[in-house]
Amino acid sequence: MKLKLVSLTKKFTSLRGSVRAVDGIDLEIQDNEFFVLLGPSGCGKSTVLNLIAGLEKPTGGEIWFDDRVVACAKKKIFFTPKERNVAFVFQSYALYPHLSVFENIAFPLRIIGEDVTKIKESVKRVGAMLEISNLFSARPCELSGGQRQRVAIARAIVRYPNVFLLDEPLSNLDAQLRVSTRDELKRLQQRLGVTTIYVTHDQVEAMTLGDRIALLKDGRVEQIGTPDQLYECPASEFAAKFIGSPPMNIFEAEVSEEGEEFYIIIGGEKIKMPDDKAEELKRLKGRSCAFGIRPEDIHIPAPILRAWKSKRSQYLKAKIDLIEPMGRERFFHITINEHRFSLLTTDVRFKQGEVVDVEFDLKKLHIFEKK
Amino acid sequence: MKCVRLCQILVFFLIIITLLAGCARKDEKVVTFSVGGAPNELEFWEVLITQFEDQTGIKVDILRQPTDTDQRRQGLVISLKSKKSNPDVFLMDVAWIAQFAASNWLAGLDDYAGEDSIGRGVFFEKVMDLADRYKGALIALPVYIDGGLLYYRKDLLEKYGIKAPPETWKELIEYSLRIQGDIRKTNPDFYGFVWQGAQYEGLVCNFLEFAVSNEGGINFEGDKILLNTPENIEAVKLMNELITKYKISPPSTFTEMKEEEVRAYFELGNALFERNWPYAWSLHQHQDSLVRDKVGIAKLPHFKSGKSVSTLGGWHIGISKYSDVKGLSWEFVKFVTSYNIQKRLAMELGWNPGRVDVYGDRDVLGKLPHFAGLRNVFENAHPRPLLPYYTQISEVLQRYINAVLAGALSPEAALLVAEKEAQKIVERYK
Amino acid sequence: MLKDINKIRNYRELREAYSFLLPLIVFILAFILLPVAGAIFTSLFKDISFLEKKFIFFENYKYLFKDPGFWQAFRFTMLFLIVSVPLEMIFGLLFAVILNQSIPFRGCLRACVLIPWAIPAAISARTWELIYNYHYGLANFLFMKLGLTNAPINWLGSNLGAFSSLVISDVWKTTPFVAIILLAGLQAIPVELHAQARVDRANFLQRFYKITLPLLKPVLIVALLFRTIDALRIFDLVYVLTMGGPGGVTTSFSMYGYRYFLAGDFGYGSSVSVVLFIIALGLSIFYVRIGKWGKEVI
Repeated sequence: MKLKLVSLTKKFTSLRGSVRAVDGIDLEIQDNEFFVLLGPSGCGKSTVLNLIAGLEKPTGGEIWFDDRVVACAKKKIFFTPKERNVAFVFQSYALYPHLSVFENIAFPLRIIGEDVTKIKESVKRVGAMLEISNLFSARPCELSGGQRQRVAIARAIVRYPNVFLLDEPLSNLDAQLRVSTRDELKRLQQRLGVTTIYVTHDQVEAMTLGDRIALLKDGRVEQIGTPDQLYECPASEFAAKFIGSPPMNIFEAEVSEEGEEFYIIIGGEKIKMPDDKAEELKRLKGRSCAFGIRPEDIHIPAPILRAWKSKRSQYLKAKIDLIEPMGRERFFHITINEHRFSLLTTDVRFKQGEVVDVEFDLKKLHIFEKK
Repeated sequence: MKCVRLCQILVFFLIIITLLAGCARKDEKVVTFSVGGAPNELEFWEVLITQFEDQTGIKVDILRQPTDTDQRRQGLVISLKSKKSNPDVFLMDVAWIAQFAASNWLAGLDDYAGEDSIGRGVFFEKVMDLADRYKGALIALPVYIDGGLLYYRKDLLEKYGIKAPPETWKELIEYSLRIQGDIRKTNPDFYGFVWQGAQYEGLVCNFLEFAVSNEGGINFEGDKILLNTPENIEAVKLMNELITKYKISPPSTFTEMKEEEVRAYFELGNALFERNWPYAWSLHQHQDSLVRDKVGIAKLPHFKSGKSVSTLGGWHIGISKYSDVKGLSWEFVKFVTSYNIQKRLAMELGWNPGRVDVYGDRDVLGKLPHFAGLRNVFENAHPRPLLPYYTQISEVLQRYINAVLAGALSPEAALLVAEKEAQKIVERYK
Repeated sequence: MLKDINKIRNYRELREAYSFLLPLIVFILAFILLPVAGAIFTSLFKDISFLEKKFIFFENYKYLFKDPGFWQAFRFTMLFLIVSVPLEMIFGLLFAVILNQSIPFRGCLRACVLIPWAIPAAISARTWELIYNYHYGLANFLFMKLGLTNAPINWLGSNLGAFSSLVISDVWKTTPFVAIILLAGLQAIPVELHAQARVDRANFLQRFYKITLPLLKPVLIVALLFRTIDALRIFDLVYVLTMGGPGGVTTSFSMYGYRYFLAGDFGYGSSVSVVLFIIALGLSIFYVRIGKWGKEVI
């Protein structure tokens, strides 16, 4: 089922004034898509989910399920959660504490008066799918975090919902469990073929799970795209800093124009910009901008290459302040003339305190206009 | 560290001292006097106590109690059963003084009385014999006497050409119907006769005035109690008919009407006749009363074959057997029953003294002229049975007579069962 | 060796636990169990203030079970219990549910709801006495003004009238207590459960029966227990409004026993207390059983 959000707005008014939790969001989600809403806390992603579920009423804009309007503030249309046929998994799983696992999963079916044999069948099927069949007679308080989460998911998929909504379902699990469950979720979604909207603040989760990601900030959409798109071409400084771990280096540098060529000055060194970057700088002439480069795009060249490339390459002198070994790679904190950068490399030769030459992969340099 | 230790020891001792202070015995030379009543009465007691303290230098502590007779009894029963030394001296309703006397809770007063030569004839002898002597010993003195009276609106009787207050119940009903019928045209709340019919002791007092005036009442034949008599049945039937048939008494008679309710109703000018105790007189004559100077007092009516009856009421003063200051308490008893104080009680509160001589006092007769006739009433007042378990029998009667007034039982059925239950009580407490 | 150390540790812990409980145990023993034992002891005697004290074993109880006055008090008290307690629970639940919603002035409303409970019992009973007064009571005034009746009603004058008046006054006074307890219980239910149930396609009534009520059960039992015991003991309301009348039909247990104590028959009064105690104990055990106390699931 396709979803469309048109200028969706939600304003909360309290004694302390009004807050726009969701401020004019436009989104289109395709059928069967695993769509992620990503953003820092307070960006409104959970509110969007609640609006889609029908737990909140929008104060502006519309929500479309396929070609039906399920919520419209102006025309006073509002479909209840029941009418929208959505399934929801809360961060706390919201299992009914007084019911057994079997009854918890069966709940949505019993409520609408499904046939008893059918209920039994469905619950068994789902229980097998999620490997919790042995827990049917247990109570939620007897289960571990991971088991509770499976029960919550089982309850959500036991009927055939239009949309599957998940609000940070992995945050309460420990790191190892989180990774394994992530994979299972992705596989489950592909198997079931249900449109899924997933809310998280963890960009690693977003990148691994999502077909597409919508990055939200302060109730607005910063960028929508595939994980690769967001990683390679972040649309703003915020997007650049949020996606990718370790985060991108953002720095300011003076731009100088000499004839047709553009240079930026980093740590006293003049670096010549390649043509496409020059084009961009020309376009942004007169406006303030920031630059970004990912840690893995700052290289320490090998001595042989150094000698060979010396004329054409543009090296910068950097002092290694701190080395963080991360197993497969090493994370260097460097200073180039009092500007701090971070660098990711597999090179094991260097030690703290050394001064080395580094090279910026200028093809991967990002330029952001400052608003 | 040492400082903390010191503080701990200090706090510990403070706690001990405070606890012990609570257990400290009060000054032994204080007389504790337990009394209840209306607020104005209690205030007057405080005035009297101040006078006593000035006169004799003996300190008196007053223990105020509510107005209700049973609540006053409750407080005393608890103290006496646990043999506490306080209160030392208290007032007792004549209805339950026998219970206290039989329970051995009252100190004997013969020695004290003998010393101060309080001889016969100072107080109403009949009352003394009935209430204040138990197995020959003197255990209390009367503070004030009560007897049921008929109050009437002399202005209304005059207006409708009735020369004298009714002597029989039949006359009372007749007058009430006539006058009530007329006055109802402008005042729909007007009733002919208000009396105490709620389920409490006062109901039995009223009942006796009906029943004994028909030669019925609560009587004994040896060990058997007699309640289910034709005379009683007739009396209870009349009580019921006042409300249901003649409708000269309001339906609230058996739910709400006690002394104060009756008095207030009459005082608002909404009744022709009132049965109440003498205390109501001075209140009717009060400045704010709507019936001031319009009220007359008479003996209660009777059935054709009988005589007018007034139930004996009143409060008596006694000393606790467990008191630790009996001597000082006796001084207070003497004080309260002295001529001057009894006169003050009459003049200020309208109470009818237990002392006979006050009834001849000129000032008293000047302010309360009806006292002349009252003396006679009290000398012939009808007492309630002098049994330690009287209140239990009264309780049975209260329930069943009230049921008849409510229309829930017929008089015959009610008295039949009442007699059976009362007999069981007699046997239980033999 | 290790087993012994654990044993000692457990013993020490146990001793510590009991020493913390000791003040409470002493309190319960001294102020609750001892008086109850005293009452039971006294009830075995012919303890009448003006007669000789005698040990009569269960004679008091024999008299009690044959006394029509006792059965009248029993009938009234049980009927009062059966009528007023469910009413209080229903109204209390209603108020609690309303006060749990986000409505304007909710805090103010919650405080107002508590007012009847806060007024001292005797004062509220006196106020109701004035309301039910035949001649100038508010009830009759309103009923006549609104044309519901053209003659004043003698509220306390009939069996049904007196009973209903008592029930109304009691329900008015104690519903806030139930409401507050149930409100606390409602607030303990996580909000997300309701949201989840809504998504799971349950409507309001279904949510109420399948989610709210089951999770409210422990608190409901507590409220039920309190109200049942209080209804069994009712005294001040009856004393002020009807004095047990008319004709003794509204005599409660407590009132019945009170009369005997007042007359000096302490043995019999104690036996009435003991019977009341046993009934209350029986009902409490019953509630604990059906509420499955001690076996809650969180």
